[in-house]
Amino acid sequence: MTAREYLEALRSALASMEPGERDDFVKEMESHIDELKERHPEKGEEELVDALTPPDALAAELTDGKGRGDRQEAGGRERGHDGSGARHARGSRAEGLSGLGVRLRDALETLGHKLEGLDLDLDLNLDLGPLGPKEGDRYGEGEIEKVFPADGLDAIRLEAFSAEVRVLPSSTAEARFVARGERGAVNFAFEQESGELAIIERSAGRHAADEIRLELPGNLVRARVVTRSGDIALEGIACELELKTASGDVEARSCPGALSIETISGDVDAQEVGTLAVRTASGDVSASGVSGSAAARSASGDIELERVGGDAAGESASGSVGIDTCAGRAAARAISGDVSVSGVGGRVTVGASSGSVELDSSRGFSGAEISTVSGNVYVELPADVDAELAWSTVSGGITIEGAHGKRGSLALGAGGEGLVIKTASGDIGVDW
Amino acid sequence: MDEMDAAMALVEKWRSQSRKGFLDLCALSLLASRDESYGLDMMEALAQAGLEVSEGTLYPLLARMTREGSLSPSWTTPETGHPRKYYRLSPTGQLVLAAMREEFDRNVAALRRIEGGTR
Repeated sequence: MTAREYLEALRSALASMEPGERDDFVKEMESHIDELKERHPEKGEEELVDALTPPDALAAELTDGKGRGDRQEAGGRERGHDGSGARHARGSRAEGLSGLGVRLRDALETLGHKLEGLDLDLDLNLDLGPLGPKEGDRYGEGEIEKVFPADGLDAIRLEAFSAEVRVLPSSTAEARFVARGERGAVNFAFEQESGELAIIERSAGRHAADEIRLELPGNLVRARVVTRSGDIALEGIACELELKTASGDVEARSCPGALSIETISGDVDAQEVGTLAVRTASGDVSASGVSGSAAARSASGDIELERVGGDAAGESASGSVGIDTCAGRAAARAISGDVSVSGVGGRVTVGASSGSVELDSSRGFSGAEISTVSGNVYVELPADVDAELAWSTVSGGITIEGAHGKRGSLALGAGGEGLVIKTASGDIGVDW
Repeated sequence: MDEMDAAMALVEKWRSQSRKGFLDLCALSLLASRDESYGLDMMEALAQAGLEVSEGTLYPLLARMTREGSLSPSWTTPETGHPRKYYRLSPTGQLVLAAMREEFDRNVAALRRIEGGTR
């Protein structure tokens, strides 16, 4: 659309406006376009005009505001009474589709807290009962060490407060537990029942352990570690692992079994693991080298999944989501964070709201579906790709060679796997 | 994924509801801080501050606030270049801004107290 066409369309969309006011508004938009042309001499007039709010939507917004203003100012004045409702509805829709660029980070933080409450049932089970000595408790003078025969031991559960917990493979056929407190005696209870050993810290505060070392025998099926604020670090553990912490960080290295990790604010770092499932409220998640599937959800943390052998899924409300090199399918969701996906062997599904989406499929493409509200979308396909491309946007710009219009489809090469991209106001770009 | 879908829809709805009044405050504050400004200049200043506003939202907002009496616009025609419509706060607008600012601070303080109380 040229500037002249835009301004004429705007003028006729504002037919019901008082003429003087209408002329003034059209003149102001003309000045806006002139200003844009002056500031962006590298861009063509039509390119600049096409990026503007469509005349209809602009007029709807304007008459919507006017309708409300009049009602406020003049109470019972009869003015377009039956029509104003329709205009109002139209204005709201235009607002919903095209005016979504506003970033209110605080609001998303609030959403994060909401998700935390609704969604992340962390079940930390840190209510360890009344503190103080109990039958079966074992005190150590600042250090406690216990050894348990591996025979008949399937599972170990450790619950601690603020100690840094290290979990390592045992070099003998025994499980070994060592806890140290720098400020005096530490207090743990040990309970063994039908193959499961529970090690439970009894004293928080002054008598809390500062360091725990847990060595696990190779025949162990399952281990569970829960802390309140202590970090958890594991290396070379093959059994199924369940780790929960409120504010501690979790670090896992070379753990080829299934890992399930939940934190509230703690960060998660996993390298060379079997399968991974992470939920966190505000922690960041970073995983590299997952032989099976990897799934991570966070309300406000950033998520990075790298080198995943199975399917990869990342979701964050206000954080960013990145998936790099994944043999299976990849799914990513974000509300305000950006999404970046590259090197995926299987199908890709991405949803974002105001965050941008980048998909690098230049090394191979097996189908993708991407939708955003106001976020921009950029996709890179292999040069020799065979794909069926379909795009649609309400008010975003389109940068696709050979593409015309806000909505359309195009067969690349011999056609084939679908690439479907939808946005409300985000720009769409595809290269190959 | 269901919760995310629901959350995304709710946030968008909430955002379009909550931002209208908030943008009024931001536009008034902006004009108070720089004496006078015109549409595109305001869009850029708001974007730099982290509030991306389309012309489809800003100009109707300016037109409404002019009609309501908070803004005094004036056209200037420079010797070279095109005419520009500059906006500044009217005396009414200055009172409105002061009152809105106070109200906003009160609301933020209330939110902080509410959050603090549930911890």
